Amino acid sequence: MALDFLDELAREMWDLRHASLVPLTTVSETEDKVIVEVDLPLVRKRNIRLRLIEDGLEIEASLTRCVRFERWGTIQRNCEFRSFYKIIPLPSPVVAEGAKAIFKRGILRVELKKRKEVEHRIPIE
Amino acid sequence: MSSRVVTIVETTPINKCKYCLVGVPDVGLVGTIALSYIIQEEQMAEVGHLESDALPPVIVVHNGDPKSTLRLYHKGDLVAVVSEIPIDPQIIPSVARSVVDWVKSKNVKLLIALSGIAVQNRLEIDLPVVYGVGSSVYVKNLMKDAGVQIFEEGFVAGLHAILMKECLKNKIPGMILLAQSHLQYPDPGAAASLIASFNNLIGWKVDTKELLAQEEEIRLKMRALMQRTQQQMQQVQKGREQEIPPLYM
Repeated sequence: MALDFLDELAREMWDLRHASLVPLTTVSETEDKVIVEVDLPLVRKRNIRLRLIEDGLEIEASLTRCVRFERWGTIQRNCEFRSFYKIIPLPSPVVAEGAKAIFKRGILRVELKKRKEVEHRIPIE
Repeated sequence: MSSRVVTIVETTPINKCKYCLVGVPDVGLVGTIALSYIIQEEQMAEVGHLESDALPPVIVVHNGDPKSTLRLYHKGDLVAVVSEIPIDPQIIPSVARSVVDWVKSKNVKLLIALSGIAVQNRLEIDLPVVYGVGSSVYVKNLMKDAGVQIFEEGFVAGLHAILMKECLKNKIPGMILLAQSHLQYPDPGAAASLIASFNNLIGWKVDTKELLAQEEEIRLKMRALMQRTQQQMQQVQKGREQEIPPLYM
């Protein structure tokens, strides 16, 4: 139980095994779009990789320099973080076509079009 | 004694001070970033802390020394009350009462609460505007003279809101400074705007060059505190700050 709690905390902010940090994100919806924002300090546009996958939006971004929190914590102080990584679950199904992304002042904003519901009527024999 | 009673412990006695600054984790962590930077830049001395059975069982360790998470700093005629963890909404009224009672006992002339106000178009804003809420005409004039725009209509939620109520009750000049900010990401740029207003108000010259130079590192380091603060903000009805009040339409 206690270890589950610690695991959850760790998953929220960093991944020591892959030396990656988990970014802060916000997800919102309009009638026809899902909007994802990701806070990416110490990242440049050319180093961001975005992929739409089954589980959501996958983001990977390498840092401009490796970061070590030398005086903080116990095991974390020994880890040199090299990137941000997160799979962001989306609240509605989306399509890749027409997706837009901008990166400004270290914040990435991605707009994804929602998948239109197609009605399939089933005839009754 | 109620478990919610909050007391202020002075480890180094403070006889008098003119200004009291308060900054706790809130919108964009603006108040915390601004006040921590002022404390560091001005090398303010740690002079005390807040104590209560209702505070979470947490201490913070700096340079190997255990410390309370809610502490007092002092330099010249300024005292700063800063928190390194979000304040539980249940204990906000007790913290506000104890700070204002203490401020009254020290004959403080002005209490300034530092915070942020979330704006959706923050990415488009180069220099965040600072708005102010003042407890009296005298305080509003101070703000106008310092280039702070008066916050005319709206809701304000959090410790600073209750500090203002206590200031009004106790007739202590109080103001809330709110810099335009990101809601859910640490915002050192907004903190720099707050510091500029603070400089104008009390005549200090805290240089924000280093704060802006370290902006990305600060955002990186404060992710966990921001995430923790987001949970608390939901409980203090932060969403209200985006609503129009029904009176005086």
